[in-house]
Amino acid sequence: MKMPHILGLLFKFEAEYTGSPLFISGNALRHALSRQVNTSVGIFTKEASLKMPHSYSDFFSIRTTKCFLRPFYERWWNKVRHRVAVRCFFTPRFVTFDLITHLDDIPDIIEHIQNCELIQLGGHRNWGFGIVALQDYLEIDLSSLKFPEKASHLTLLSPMLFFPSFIERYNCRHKLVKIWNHNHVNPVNIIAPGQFFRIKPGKNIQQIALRGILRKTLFGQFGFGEFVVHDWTSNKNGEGNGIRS
Amino acid sequence: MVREMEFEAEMLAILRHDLHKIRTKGALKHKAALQDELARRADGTAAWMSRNFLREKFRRHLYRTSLIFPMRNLTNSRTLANLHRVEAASLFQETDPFKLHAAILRSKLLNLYAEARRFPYTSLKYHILLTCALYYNFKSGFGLKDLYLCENHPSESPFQVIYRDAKREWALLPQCQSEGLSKLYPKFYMTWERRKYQSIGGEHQTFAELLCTIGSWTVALATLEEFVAFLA
Repeated sequence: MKMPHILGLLFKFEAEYTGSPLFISGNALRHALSRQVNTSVGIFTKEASLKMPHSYSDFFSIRTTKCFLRPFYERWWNKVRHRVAVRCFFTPRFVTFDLITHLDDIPDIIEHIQNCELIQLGGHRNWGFGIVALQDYLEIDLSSLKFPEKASHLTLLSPMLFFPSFIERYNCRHKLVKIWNHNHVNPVNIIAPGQFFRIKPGKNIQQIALRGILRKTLFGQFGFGEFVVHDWTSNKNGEGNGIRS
Repeated sequence: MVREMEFEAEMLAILRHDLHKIRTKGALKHKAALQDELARRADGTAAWMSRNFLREKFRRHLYRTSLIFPMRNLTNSRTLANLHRVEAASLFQETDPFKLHAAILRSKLLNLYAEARRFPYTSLKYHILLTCALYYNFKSGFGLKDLYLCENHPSESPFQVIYRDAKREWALLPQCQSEGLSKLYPKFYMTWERRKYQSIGGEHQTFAELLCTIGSWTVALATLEEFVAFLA
């Protein structure tokens, strides 16, 4: 089977950012580039360059490390609702996206990004917030990556719409988000990221781990359904794939 | 009767163990403040859960740097520092541990002090409350892995409460897997991400997501208290 290539993009912030301090949705990048790319959610990071991953845990090292964004809160008068409201902005340094592409499309996408006059992510874009510029990019060949053979749990790194068949369900936390699509706002009830699920026994873990990277689920092109698998049963014996959190 | 008095003396020692960080007159030194081995373990665990976030250079002043009010400057005013010290010392004059715990839980003054001066965002108030809750649960025979963060759940003792505002009261209770908000983890964001329902939501979702990136327990609780004050 021919593995798809992953194009890691690292953007540098040139202005303040408002919006979610957890991640930027993939839909924001699609609208910023005016291009229907298959992208992951954007994860904030302090790393100024992308490095070639040599293992599965290496691949997720940026995406599982928490990056704290310092908030700047202020009170203001909301004229529409006629009351005092609160708003805040952050000053992140870098944000990274993973695009799933064919090898032939990569130069085309990079050229398109470099020729874009203005790329803005996040909220308050008409006030000049969220301006980014391309800092670094990296092509990752997934066939060189070694996937774990044993795993007991998976942790969601981005929202998911439906429970996949290979996990054991429980009454987990859901959240209502809005997906903006060309002047239509669609409210969607998602499974909130950061929660973990037990994988049913007797499943092909390598396939599941690949599925977590390739986001083979509904709205995967917006970054939904990305997860990382852990082996928490064997961690007691000092083994495991070395991914914490 | 004797056991009750012993318990009250132990709790008073726990609540007063960090007076040297405010530099009140006659405060016991760090090594002399806690004699009990279990109390030292609770203090160490609470410090471990608090000092894992935004380590900076050692600072001479005792005050906490705020995430919500970053322009607040308490460092220059010597009269203010003396005033705060006298006020805090009079707060700790209370000899009933229940009343003292309630006073600490209400106190805005103790939230102005940092817990460790290499970690300027940590809060002394929530370090004391966390130590107290951990000590009470350790004494009842429960470990860290048995504890859950519960919201508005009736607690066995007021010493288990770690946070209170108008809407929510958070307590560390053992074996509340089904009723609790989340399990206790050493990093605050691990607990907060795995919460079962949205404690903070609506128009303050950004703040709830900001809490998902804060590792330290005392920083998160102090920031939550300040955010509630900021809204009012």
